[in-house]
Parts: sequence; structure tokens; C-alpha cells
Amino acid sequence: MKRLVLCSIFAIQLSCVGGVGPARRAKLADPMMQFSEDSLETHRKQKLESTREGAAGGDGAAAGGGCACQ
Amino acid sequence: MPSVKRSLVLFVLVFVTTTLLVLTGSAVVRAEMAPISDEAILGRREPIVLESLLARYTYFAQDGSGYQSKAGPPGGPGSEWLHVHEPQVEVVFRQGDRIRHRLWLPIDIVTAASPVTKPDAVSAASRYNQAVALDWTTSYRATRAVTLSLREGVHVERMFRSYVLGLSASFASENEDRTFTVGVSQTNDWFDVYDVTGRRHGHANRSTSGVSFALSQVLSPTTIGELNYGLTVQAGELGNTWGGVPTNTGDRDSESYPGRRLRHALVGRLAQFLPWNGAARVFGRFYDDTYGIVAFTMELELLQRLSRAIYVRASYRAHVQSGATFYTTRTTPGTSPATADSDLQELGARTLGAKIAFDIPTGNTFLGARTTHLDVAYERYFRTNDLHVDVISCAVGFRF
Repeated sequence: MKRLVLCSIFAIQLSCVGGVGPARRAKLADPMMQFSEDSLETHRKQKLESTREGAAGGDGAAAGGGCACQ
Repeated sequence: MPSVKRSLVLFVLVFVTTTLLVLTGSAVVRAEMAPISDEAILGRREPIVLESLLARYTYFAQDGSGYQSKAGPPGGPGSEWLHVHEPQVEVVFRQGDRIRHRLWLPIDIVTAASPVTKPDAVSAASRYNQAVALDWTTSYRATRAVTLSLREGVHVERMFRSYVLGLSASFASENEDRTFTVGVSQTNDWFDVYDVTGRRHGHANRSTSGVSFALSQVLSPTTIGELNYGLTVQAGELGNTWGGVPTNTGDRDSESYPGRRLRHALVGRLAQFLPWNGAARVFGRFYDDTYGIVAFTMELELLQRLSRAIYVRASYRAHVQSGATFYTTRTTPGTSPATADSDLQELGARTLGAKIAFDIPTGNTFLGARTTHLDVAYERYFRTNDLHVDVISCAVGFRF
């Protein structure tokens, strides 16, 4: 419950942030500011973590089978 | 009773999400109905335009030991030696000004120690296992603010088939500094069942249903944040079926899993541009599931631009998780559920990594590409329960 409240507060904080116009977003467009530089690299990382850690999945990424590398 | 309650909650969530997606789609269509024409729906008629082409090769070299592996003494841990070669190709192309396609083709070539050991559970089939997948995502920019995406994928291995279908909708705010995304996905796996002694027992299947919500927000001209919650429910055969558990009689029994698993994950991300032409990215994740696993993950990445075309990255990741309630290294024969899979054990994991990337402007002179991308990365992953993985990856890509 405590975690839920904290998450809600964070979400409300996010929703209260003022707008940043397109002209002021040059730095945000840098590839270094992307959470994932490319989707193939994201897959590479998720593959290692999802096959080696029982706590993978649950975050929108596939948590199914694939790869018989148990 | 709690599982019934959880299933009900999941059903309501999936129902609400699907309804939202359908209502959004119909609202968009209604808004665009006058005058209705192909061009009004699909955008301007234009030939298919190639946006980018990317190829990546990754080599995973794993070593360590775990009690589920048969490549060891009776009752003791066996080798988890494993090598994977993984080439991947991604093609992104545009069909008009509203529709965008992404085709992704990964191939896995796996060599593992455990299946090689006699009695060989899966014979030569998994000694050298090849897997190929094809994944196609189509995004439709319905309005300036709304983008709908449909994803279909198929994964094929010698003894394994998997199909995935996903649907998502993204809603951007008027000034495009806030995006809310909701998505649902369904994965069905169908595979051969082998027990720990190598006998085949027909087929089994597994269903994975997921729903996720993500909110990304531009926080300042140099900061962006994202919050993501995902819920996944799995049902069916949740193990690989041939994994073993040492027994207190000195033998090895087949591992077995509960028939259902519910997973929650909450992820927060933050990227901050730094005054010295660098960037810092922070990632945090909390995870909880019905196996009794609770996990926390933190990751920090520091990036530094060396020139307009080159940047480097250093990364550190820490992960801790509690073990599954039915994890054991010594079970009584016939006990269910029971697993000795070291991935489900209480563990800590660290990853150290480095990468150098080049984005070279080629001004349409090389294969007609505006930019050529090259990168090389290395990562070392190591766990507290005797396992480490070396990862080498390199990529070449073109933006047109």
C-alpha cells in the first residue's frame, strides 16, 4: 500500500511538470538521451537477464519461452 | 481463493485495457470519417521508403554450475557451460506518412553442456539448438497525438513453437512532452515434453498474457523520465520439462512447477543530459510474483560524447532477488512443485559494461545512407551463486 501511495505521488509529480517547447529539446534528441539506443541492443540485454534471472518479465516484455538455453 | 481473486483482477485489467484500445480506435476512425477515403485513413500515397537497416551480432559465453544441470556428479551441481551466437537484423520502413513497419529477425545458435551429458534428455536436438524468430510491428499514426501499433511474431526451434500478438496505443499530449502508452500482449508456446531421463511424453503448452502502462514525461530541457507498470499471467507448463532436481535418495527427479504464475513489475527510468556533453541514465525496477520471488534492480549508465560522431558508455547494474518458495537442492521423490534451477534461487547479480559507438554522417554517398552506425560493446555478468557470462556485441547500421 505504501509503495502504491509513493508511486501515485510520483505519477502526480510527473503530471504537474510544465511544458518544454520543441525549440528547447535539442539535447533531448541526442541518441545518448534515449533510454534504449537501439532495439536490438535492448533485446540482447533482456535476453541475458530474462534467461538468467527468475525475476524477469512482468514489465510488458515477453516472459514466454523461446531459447532452450536453461 | 486468492488465485481466483488475482485472475479476476487480471481479467478486469485486460478487459478495461482492450476496451480503451477499441474505443480509441473507433473514436479516431469516427473523427476521420468525413470525407472518408483511402488517403484520409492511410495518409498521402507514397512509395515504400526504407528508414533504417541494422544488423547486430552477439556472442554469449556462460560458465558456472547449478543443481538443475545433469553435467555433474549425482546429487551435486552440474556444469552450466553454454555458448550462444546470436545474429539479428532489423529493417524499418515507412508506407506513406502514417504507417511504419519494423521487421526483426533474430537467430540463436545454442550449445549447452547439460543436455550433452548422458542420459541425454533431449538427444542431439538441444546439444546444438538453433532458433529463429520473425517479428513484425506495424505502427499507424492515427492522429498527431495517437499512435496504434500491432505486433505479430513467430518463434521456431526444433522442439518448440511460439506465437505472439500484441496491441498498443500511445497518446501524446498537445505539446508532445508527455506520452501515455497502454499495451496488451498474448504469447502461446507449444513444445515437446521430455522428462529427466530423456523419455518423450507428447506436447505441452504455455500461455503468457500481459498488460502494461507507461508514462513518459519531458521534465526539463535536459531531463526525461518514464514510469512503467506491467502485469503478466502465465499458465500451463512453466518449466522446460527436462530440468532435474537431486533427491534425498541420491537420484534425480524431474522438476515441476505450479500451473500458474502472476508477475508484477514497476520500472522507473530517468535520463539527464550533462553539461560536459555527456548523459546519465538511471534505471530502477521492483518485481514481485506468485513464486515468492521479490527482486530489486538498479542500473546506472554514464555516456560521454567524444566528438559529433563518437560517444562512449560505461554501465553498472545490480540485481538482488529472493528465491522461489519451492527451490530446493534435495527433494523427496514425487514432491511437486520442486525446482533446482539456479535462476530461481536467492541470488545477487552484477553487470559491468562498456561500449563505443560511431554515428558517421555519410551524406548519401555510401549506399544512399545519411548516417552509418557502428558500435562495439562488452559486458561481464556475474552472480553470487557461481555463474558468469561474458557478452561481446557489435553492430552496423544505416539510416536513410
